[in-house]
Amino acid sequence: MNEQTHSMEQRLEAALEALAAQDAPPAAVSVSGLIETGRAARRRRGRVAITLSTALAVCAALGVGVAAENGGEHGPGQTGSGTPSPTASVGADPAAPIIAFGWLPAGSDGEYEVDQSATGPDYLKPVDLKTGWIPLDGPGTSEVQVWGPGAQILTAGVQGAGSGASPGHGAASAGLVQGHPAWWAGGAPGSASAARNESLDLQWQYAPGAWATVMLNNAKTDSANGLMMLRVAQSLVIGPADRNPLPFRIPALPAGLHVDSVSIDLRQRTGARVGAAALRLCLTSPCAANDETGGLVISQSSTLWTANSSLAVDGAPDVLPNGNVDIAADGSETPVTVDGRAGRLYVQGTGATLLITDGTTRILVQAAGAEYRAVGGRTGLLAFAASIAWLGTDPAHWTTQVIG
Amino acid sequence: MIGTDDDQTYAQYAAGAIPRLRRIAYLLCQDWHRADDLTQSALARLYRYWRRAQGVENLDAYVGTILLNVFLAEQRTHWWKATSVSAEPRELAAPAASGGAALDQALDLRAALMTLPPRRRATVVLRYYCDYSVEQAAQVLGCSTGTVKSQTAKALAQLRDVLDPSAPTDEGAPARDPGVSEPGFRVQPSVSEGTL
Repeated sequence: MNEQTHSMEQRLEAALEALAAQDAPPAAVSVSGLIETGRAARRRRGRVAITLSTALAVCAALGVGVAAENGGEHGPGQTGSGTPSPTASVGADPAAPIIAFGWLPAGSDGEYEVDQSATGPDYLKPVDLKTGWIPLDGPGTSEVQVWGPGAQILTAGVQGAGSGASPGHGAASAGLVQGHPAWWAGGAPGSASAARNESLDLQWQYAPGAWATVMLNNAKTDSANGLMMLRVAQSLVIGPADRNPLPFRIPALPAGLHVDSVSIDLRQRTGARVGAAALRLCLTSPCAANDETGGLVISQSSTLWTANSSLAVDGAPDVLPNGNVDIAADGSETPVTVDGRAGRLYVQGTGATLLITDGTTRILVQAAGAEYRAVGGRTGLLAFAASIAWLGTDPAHWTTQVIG
Repeated sequence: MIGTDDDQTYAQYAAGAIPRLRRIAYLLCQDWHRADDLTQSALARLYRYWRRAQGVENLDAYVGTILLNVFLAEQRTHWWKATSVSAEPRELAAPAASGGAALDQALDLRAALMTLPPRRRATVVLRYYCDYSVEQAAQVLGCSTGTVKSQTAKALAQLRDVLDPSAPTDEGAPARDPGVSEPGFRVQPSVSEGTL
């Protein structure tokens, strides 16, 4: 390092210190608020990790036997008032419009990640890791991300009508995309605005009130990439409804519950295809509980999720360096066996969480609030979990016949 | 949720960490209100992982990683997930009454930092404020050490006008564009943001 650079670095350190030490307004961060928010988020979190690393070996000995798949024998503690609620709704596998990449730049299919969520009673067919089928549902949103050549991240998304979103005045025109006027929302390719944003964001209204976007991050914001994005946008398929494969099959929904939302996370990194998905069931539509509480969540994920995914949804690593994972829980913690699999049941005052790790597959079933009562409480939750067929983390083995 | 004892230890840690995290967040975003939001989000997420996080060797670094991920994730948040994206200039803290040359330079630096792309800005903050090594920064940013080095070099080149006005300007330094405002739009909060 030369002397001039060293001197600049020292000045930079001093300037950053001085800048950070400026008079700041009083902090608006409340510790008690954090705890409240954190608690609510913990209850809602569907893709949760749990500490199971060493205790599973003793689960079978200490555990509570649970119903075999599809209504087999109930183990101790599953009789009486804890009888599962009757299953009434079988529910057709719903469908929704989809989008897919029609064309991607060379090198885009080496590493691929789909991270999507959709809200509402509809969900559908994605899971082609190369084309990235994703669902769109009413005013909800869906998106798919692909790692392009190098480290660039190419994202396409659609939003249903009624979202209230639109590009602002002054956005740069991008001509026509699929016959509709389009804009560069964060600055045109090659502009200083785009460079400052470190992204390009192309938007167009593909149907009245409904917007599509193609966004590029971690890449040059130059004209060449602008042309590439226009080609991606022109070939983006916003297609008809189809069904959505998921990694579990539910013979019947608990009485009164319906599908509220679905979340799918697919990764093709280091040559392996791994998928995770979660389904949220609620009593009402939309879910009576707010975004952070309530509902019955069925989730299957993989222990192969790495801490270094830059696309991590939560910002926090899923797995700590020591390899342990953890779940939020208070109240009681009981080893259980469900359909021959050892797991743990965390019971809180207003809900419960069942966590099972089987090889690299992590299964979670949790309920809170009204949905917890509707499923039949602790015992009902275990029986419901035992009725579910779990299909593993390879999307090739998933099914579109999710319910019934 | 976690138990009362855990809540107490969490509260104790969070109360102590807030000032430091706010300062880091401020350096990243140059807006105290947003710095509060970033700090709030990072600490709320920490709460969910609190039991296991207590076993982490360097908890401050772990929380810093969360904060950085929250910040960077915001940079690629889609327009429909934003609650408010405005062309209005960010609110900047009032300069202190006195502070000498370092503060004057800091105020210039504040403007210059905002011209850096978010990841490059994060690299600068990690390396020169948080005092991370190249390897540590690479781990946090999820990139190679070479990328950290190149990002750092580019950042220093861009900041040279502020840090060393006597130095000749780099031909390859990106041009400033102070007069261009971002197209602004406001959207309603998405009902489906986040995962299950």
